[in-house]
Amino acid sequence: MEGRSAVANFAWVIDQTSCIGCHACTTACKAEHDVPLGVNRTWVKYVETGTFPATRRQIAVLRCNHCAEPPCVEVCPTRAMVQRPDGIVDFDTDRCIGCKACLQACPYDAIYIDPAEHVAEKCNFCAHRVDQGLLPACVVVCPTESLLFGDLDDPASRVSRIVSSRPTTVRRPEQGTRPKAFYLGASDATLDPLVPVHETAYMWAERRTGGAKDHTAELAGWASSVGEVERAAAAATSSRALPVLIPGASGGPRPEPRPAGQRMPKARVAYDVFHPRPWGWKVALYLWTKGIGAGAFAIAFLAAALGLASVPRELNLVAAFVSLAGVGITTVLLVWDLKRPERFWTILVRPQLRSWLAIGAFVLVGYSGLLGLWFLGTWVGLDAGLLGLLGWPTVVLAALSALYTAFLLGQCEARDLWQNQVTGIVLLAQAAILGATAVLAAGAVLGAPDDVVAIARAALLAGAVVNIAALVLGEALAEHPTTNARAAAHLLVRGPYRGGFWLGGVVLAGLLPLVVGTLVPASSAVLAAAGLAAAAGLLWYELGFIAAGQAVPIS
Amino acid sequence: MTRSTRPTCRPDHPASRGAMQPGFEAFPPPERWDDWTELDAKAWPRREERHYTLVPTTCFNCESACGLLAYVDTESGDVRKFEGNPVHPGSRGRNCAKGPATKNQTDDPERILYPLRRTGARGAGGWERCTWDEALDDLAGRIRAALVRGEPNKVMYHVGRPGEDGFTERVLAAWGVDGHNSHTNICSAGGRAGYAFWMGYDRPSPDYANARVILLISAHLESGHYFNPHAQRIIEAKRRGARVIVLDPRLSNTATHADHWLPVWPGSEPALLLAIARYLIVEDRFDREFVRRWVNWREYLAAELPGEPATFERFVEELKRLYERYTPEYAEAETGIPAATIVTVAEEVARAGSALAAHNWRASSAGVLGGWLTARCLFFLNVLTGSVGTPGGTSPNAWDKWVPRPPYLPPHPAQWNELTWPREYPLAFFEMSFLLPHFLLEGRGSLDVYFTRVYNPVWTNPDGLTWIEALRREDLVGRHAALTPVWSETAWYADYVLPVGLGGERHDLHSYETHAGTWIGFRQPVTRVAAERAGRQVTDTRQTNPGEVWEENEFWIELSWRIDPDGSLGIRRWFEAPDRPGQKMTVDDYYGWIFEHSVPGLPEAAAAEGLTPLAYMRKYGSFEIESGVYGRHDEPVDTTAPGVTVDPASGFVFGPPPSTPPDNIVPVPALPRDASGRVRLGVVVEDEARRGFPTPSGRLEFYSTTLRDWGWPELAIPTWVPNQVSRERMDGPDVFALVPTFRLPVLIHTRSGNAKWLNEIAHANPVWIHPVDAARIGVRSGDLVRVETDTGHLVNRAWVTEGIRPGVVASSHHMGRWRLAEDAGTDRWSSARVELTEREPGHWQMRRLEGVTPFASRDPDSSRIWWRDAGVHQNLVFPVHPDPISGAHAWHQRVRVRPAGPGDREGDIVVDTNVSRRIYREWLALARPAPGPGGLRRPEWLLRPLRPTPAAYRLTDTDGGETPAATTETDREASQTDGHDRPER
Repeated sequence: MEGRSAVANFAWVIDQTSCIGCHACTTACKAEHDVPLGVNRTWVKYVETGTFPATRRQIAVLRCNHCAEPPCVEVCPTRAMVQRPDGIVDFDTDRCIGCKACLQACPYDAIYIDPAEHVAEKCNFCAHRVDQGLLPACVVVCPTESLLFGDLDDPASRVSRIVSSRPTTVRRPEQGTRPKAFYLGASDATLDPLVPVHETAYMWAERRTGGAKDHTAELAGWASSVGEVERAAAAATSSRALPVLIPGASGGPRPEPRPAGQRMPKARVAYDVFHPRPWGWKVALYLWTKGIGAGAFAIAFLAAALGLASVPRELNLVAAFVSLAGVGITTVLLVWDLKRPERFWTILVRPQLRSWLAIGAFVLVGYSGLLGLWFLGTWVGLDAGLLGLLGWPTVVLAALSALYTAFLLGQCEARDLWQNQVTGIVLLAQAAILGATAVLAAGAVLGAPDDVVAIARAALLAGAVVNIAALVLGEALAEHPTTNARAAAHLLVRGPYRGGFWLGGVVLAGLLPLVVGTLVPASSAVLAAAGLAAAAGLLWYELGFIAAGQAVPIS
Repeated sequence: MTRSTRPTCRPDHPASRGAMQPGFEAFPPPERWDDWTELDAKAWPRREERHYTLVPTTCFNCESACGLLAYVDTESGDVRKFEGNPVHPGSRGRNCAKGPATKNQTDDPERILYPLRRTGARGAGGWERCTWDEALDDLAGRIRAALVRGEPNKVMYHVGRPGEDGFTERVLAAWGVDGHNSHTNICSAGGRAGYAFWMGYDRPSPDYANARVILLISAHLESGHYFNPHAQRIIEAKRRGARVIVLDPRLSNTATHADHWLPVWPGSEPALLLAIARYLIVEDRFDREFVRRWVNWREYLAAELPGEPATFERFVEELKRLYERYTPEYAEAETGIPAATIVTVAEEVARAGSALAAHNWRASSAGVLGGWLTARCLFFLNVLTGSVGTPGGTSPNAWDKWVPRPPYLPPHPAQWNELTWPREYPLAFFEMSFLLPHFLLEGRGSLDVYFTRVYNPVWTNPDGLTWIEALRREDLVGRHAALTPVWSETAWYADYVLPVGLGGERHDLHSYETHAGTWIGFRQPVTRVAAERAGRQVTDTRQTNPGEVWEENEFWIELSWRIDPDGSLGIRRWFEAPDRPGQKMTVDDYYGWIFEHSVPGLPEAAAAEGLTPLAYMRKYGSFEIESGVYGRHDEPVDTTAPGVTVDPASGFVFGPPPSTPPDNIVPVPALPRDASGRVRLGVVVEDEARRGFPTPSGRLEFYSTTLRDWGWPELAIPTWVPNQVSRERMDGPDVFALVPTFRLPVLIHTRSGNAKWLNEIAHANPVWIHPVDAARIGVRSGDLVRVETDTGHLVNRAWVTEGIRPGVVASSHHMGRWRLAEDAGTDRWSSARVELTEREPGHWQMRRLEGVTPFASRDPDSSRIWWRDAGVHQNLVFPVHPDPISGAHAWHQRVRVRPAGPGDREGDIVVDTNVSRRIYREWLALARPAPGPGGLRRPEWLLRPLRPTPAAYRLTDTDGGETPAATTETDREASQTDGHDRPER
């Protein structure tokens, strides 16, 4: 075929000027792929905009965008998500371990965990049909030819003709994923999840709570494009350059201004599907145990290695043991949180090395291995020089263990809150606080020398100061780059998670150790108590941080 | 009209043949349907091949009859999925959400697989499995006894959506019973009457695809008849620049696509339409030539202005005078639509010219007293714009429908059934079906055998508790057999629940007016066809269907043989094979004969592929007979043919009756013959003989002499009357007009209750209320409200929306399914478990015990049901509102809506059927009963399903209820040759 590149570049065009919101694509997809109840590979969203009688129902078909730069592929630790040369983002359920990282990476809510197989699934362009020369099932069923499939690089395809000749939009372009679902005539009210409000129920369905759409009344209208909602509403009434004739707008009486109690949000979701928050308390707790695992050893080792204090052997053993336990529990939590935990090991034998989840697994494995050796060496009284040689790479891995999650969270393109660069600083500060607390607590029991207590106190204070600064300057007062991040930060700092942020993160894990550490002539027991309170505060904060990141609608 | 030149398979999907993406097809090519290999989506990316045989069939959900293609796994014999049938001329390979969901219905772990017989009291919920033979013998014995006794009308067949053309009416005719009952009066009666008084034909067939302006009353892009086929064509026209005008008090998915959404006050549509008509008339923007040729203005002048010059100009003057009062300002006051908007829209209509495609489905025609006037006034616009039968205009449905003549046409029933055609409603379209329990309870008659067939009147009809009161009376209903694929609220009150097949499990033949052409669609039991393709001999569809699920064709044939085993009643002969006298007819016999004899072009198309006509239809599932059908009324009639004469007085052309019935027996009005028994062939227009319209005048009846002569002279021309929900009746701050009839795009009445994918999408029917109204009565979205009607109240949640006219509340009719038992009674996917108590006679209360809940079954999805809402049933609290002319139930209600009280719980329903009885009598009193002119029960020309003999039409003084008039041989002969006089469905 003339002008057609050797390899295709498949894309969707979704024509909302003609889509009648009939949901045929939804059920055709369920039929083709035997998709269980509760999850969807494609769904239809309705948003009501405008004021009677200039009301419109905006409709959008939402699904995988088959991004040119798919974050789900990048984050997948086991190469279960793959991008084919023809642009199809496909997946292999046999490889999936159910870590849900792809759900966090996808800015479009396109991926779900299959309740039967417990693996990640999504629209795959009906690759099994495409490879046979058949169009995807939803394209075939669509009564109004509103779903178009084709090769963007083939000038003869309908999608390339439309994309090159008519104005199309994509969902959330700011995510930099280069999505390949091009919308014709879609409204911001449907494509921008931060525009409309989800009320208690939809027009013909229940709204499940506990997912990402619980706080829209607080967040709706944050998008910079609110004004576009009404323009899109007007444009959708006529695709041609004719005057828009909406009843009431052409000479008839306009509705009277209404009292506040009768005013409606500018855009209201009339129908949508539920999306859960993929990560819960196990992930928050994992961040916390990982901080302990990284910090306890690191402080004990660095105090001695830098010649700042002489650390008794018992204290070294306890610190290393606490770290081993912390890393061990971390690993248990990680595996426990997998939907297919029995496949955990495949990360190590079939890693996808751009994934920070895979890299993190190696870091944790490497760290616990070296740490174990260091513990054994200390136990058997290995030569101090050798221990030091072993300790330095171990402490580097400890730092990486604390830090790598920041890069993993950075790969979670769906959760802009987590992509804040301050997250890495917070994680290191937390490792310092948690490590210092462990050392102080051990010291209080074992009777640590003053210089060790002083170092631990310094670490605690440093951690507290950095933590306060990072949370206040990096989250509470910062200009967040995207509306999604702003919205999540709002929920975290001023919204339902503010208790964990201020009382947990700032007061308990910041001001309290700071005050106790500087003002009180502190014994290791008092400092340890302050550290324990700080640790509790950190866990509270992490729970909020993990929840808030996922509490902003992305579809 | 052009006959299709290529009657072979025409892949009609817009993406076929690489049209969307070179190298890609929408469907497997038909030549490979017998043996198709496809990669397994579940196993992907492993390339596991699955082998299928692809069998076309027809969706059995809504009435659109879209084509489906079943993928039957050749190894397991299971149906893997249903796609569209690309060959189908109506749906063209595409479907709505309900097509693929046929799979859910087929696989439903709760479906009834074996015949059940009641144990214990009727409605008490005791059931045992029985055999088909036991049920057949019992029913056949009772029917035979009624026939032998001379009480044929003790047998009644009550159908929801037929989903087929003609088969069952033929059965009833063969039995000689006037026992057809339908759901028409709760649905399309008003719309039908409005069209029929204009043109004889009772439905429109808009040619959307070629329209310049599309004028829709109600929501044709999400529901309505022929939803998917029509939506395709409406959007096609819109893409090409057609303007869309939608009248609906509620923002539907259709309204949101409109260039003009006119949220009229419900029931006031005629006022707006007449204002548009006035604009066309007063501004001289109407098609004078068309009106002059085709409207019966001479009759109007002769009757209403005798002595004045009978000129068209005089008529135009009179038109202007008649409609002067329907000014835009008048319409604004009635409808709430600004006068300026009305003028704008009227101008759009004027610009449409002869390409105005208009349709009314339900909405106010099924909503209010006089609702039929909505259709009458809507078609007035087609008449004024000359857009009748034109490309882009609106044709009569019968032009675009082909009902092939079956092997035998039994005679017309010889008696009149007053339980379905009571004398109070001589003009009704059609049976007064929703009054049946009232008639039974007030002693107008009783039934020996009552079939409900894919019909759920207890739930679907108004005043369902009165239905329960009648159905539980064994003295009124001797045997009730529910032919149904699933449990229903009505089946609970049956004596037999007989499982019949779904879309892929039965034979049916049908044809619908989806566009300007004619086609037939063939529904097939797909596993049977697959088995036959694999070389298995199948003699009974139960051999391949799940469990003992049967198809009705074979059931009726078998039942008829058992009624008349030796042929002595003259019934059996109608069910004998055409080419094997004395032997039982098979489905292959029946359809094979039809496809060979009554479908022009099909035998040739089949021969071209080396197939028999039946094999062709088994392979392709549909056939297009004609396309581009327009202007039939204007076709010339040959007056020089032998025996053809023109009656100079009337201008009618008469000719000898055809020697054989026509191939297409689509129901059309029966026109009177002349004195020498010749049939009317046409009418002289401007000195030329034309086919005209099947009305008393042969023209379009602006002035209906039928309405005039049957007691309604004031409504003889298109007009408007106030109704039970007119704005002036809204006399309190919490009084509203309730629109309870709207459909959702993903559900279809109670038929889709076991489609899990559909119920997952839609499972609640909150009460839509405008924010200003909500603030006034003090409710917010999600709050419980009490909706009070004349007979009771219900408690449901409010949904506050800008998509509803202030003063109007609305709630979809789909939801509110209920069941009285834990695990039976209604699909658990969609129903709440309730407690129903009659505290004293007529005082009923329903209380929800449990919403939709997950349950264990062989489908793991049943444990994944996440929704709890089942919606709240509305119809129970609606009294009957029979329109005195069309007989339609007027669904809209004047209601009070207030915040729920402390004792109210979601789903509560309270009804006093004593009040429903009173309201029934009040509305009955509006009727103007037969006899009409000539002592008739009903004008003979009007359509009527299962039309009885002419003698039965005459109401005599001695008529009690039943008229066992004797059948004359002449009647039988006439009926067999008069193909135009077939039952209407």
